[in-house]
Amino acid sequence: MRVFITGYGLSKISRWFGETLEDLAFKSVKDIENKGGELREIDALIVANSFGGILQSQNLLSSLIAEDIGFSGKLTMTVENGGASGASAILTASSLVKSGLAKNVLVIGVEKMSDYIGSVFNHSISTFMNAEHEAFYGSTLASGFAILARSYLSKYKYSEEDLGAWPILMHENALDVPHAQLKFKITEEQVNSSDIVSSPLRVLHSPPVSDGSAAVIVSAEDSSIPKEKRLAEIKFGYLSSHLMELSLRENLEEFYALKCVKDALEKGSSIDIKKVDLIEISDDYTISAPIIIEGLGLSDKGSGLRSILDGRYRLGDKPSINVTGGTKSRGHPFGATGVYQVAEVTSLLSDGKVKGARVNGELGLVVSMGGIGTVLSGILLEKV
Amino acid sequence: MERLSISKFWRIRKLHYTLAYSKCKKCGYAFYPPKHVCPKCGSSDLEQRTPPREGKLISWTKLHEVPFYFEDQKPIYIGLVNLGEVNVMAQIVDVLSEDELREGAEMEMVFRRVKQDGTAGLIYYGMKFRPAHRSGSSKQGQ
Repeated sequence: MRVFITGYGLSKISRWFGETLEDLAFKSVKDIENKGGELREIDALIVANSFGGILQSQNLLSSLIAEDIGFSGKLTMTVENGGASGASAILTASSLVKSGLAKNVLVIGVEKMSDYIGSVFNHSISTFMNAEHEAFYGSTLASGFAILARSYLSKYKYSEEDLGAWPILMHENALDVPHAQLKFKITEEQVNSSDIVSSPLRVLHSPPVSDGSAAVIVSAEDSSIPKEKRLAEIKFGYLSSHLMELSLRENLEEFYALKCVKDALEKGSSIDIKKVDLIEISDDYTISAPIIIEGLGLSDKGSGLRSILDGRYRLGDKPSINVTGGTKSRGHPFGATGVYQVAEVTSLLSDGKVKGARVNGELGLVVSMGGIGTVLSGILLEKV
Repeated sequence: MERLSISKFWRIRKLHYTLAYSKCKKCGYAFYPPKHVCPKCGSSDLEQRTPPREGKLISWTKLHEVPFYFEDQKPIYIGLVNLGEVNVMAQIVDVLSEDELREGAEMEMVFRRVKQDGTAGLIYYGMKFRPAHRSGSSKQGQ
């Protein structure tokens, strides 16, 4: 059974103080229709969200959103898997379609991170650490990535300033992306003089606090949605988790879960990742970018940051990576991020609306991450 | 009469007061925090061991953006410390200069307040680390 993306919708990522989770979700669903997608044939809904239970005191979110968008009495579920929630929801949708339980699944990623002051946000991102051990002593995603970053920079002989090349590129890439949160250029001086979040990581190495929603329709080959609505094919998808605690990792500078995903993708699809034209990665706190680039086999261990400094991965390079700005500049509404990523790659391979023009190439890959390399996912998309 | 429930910290207090780790009797792998099965070989035949009180710093950070429980302590240092067979993620305290936080720097365990539930709630204690062998620092961190 072949599985296709037959529609996508995006809402601008920002700090939407005036809007609820349902408001945001409704915007991305409406945008599916604006972009020509077909909502009438939907027979299941999966909502990807990571913080609704903590920040909005709202569980059973898919049920609430289902009724809000007039989707009553049907299969709904909510998927939480940190920053990989969106990818997990799309993989679940793909499995529902392959199993025959549904023909067209609407996947909505939605997150509201900006409702509270910084220390509550910091608490929220500490929930991706072991709560009774690492987070108990104050660790958060930021401190964990900072510990990785210091280790990576020291082991491979980089300076802290070398980290700046990635956020500068991400901000350039987001300039022409309508739904991106941070659409302005930054300079090396601004990066290196921005406030420290967790040394050596600064504000301009870190993702913004984001509210947003994105949606896609995942359809079966024999769905009643017409063939001309197909935008991209999901060739293969996989997800792996591995040791949450950094204290248990043998090597701080790589994500073992990504190796599991890469092996499964290459075996399952018979496609060499080096042949992929367009890649979208979770570049959380900048240091994730070189680690994931190396983990995908696109550069040698320790030379991922060098390849970024050498100007690789820009639009037109093969592969081009995060041409819509990544978590750094597009924004990082955690539970929704994976849906944004898949919608962006789908658009870049088909209509090009997320960047003004489609990108040359046939193959796209979305790599989403939950925690500090604790969950990695890979979704391989092909132009229809 | 309302029945008060015991603090959920009670069940993990011993771990936090000793940083006791697990060692697999089958393959010998040691790990912290504990799991029900060995992350290496899957055996559940494990024994608990107490780590040495001194170790070496692997990597660290100074966290300015702290969760709300730590607002009164910010910024806090957090480090990954090697204690022989295991590594532990812990707070680093009593840092006089960041020059003391080189990779490989010797650290010693100290018993400290971790956080508290407001002004009238529980006070949680646990083990933190501080730079060792500094003039004026007592060996056991009293």
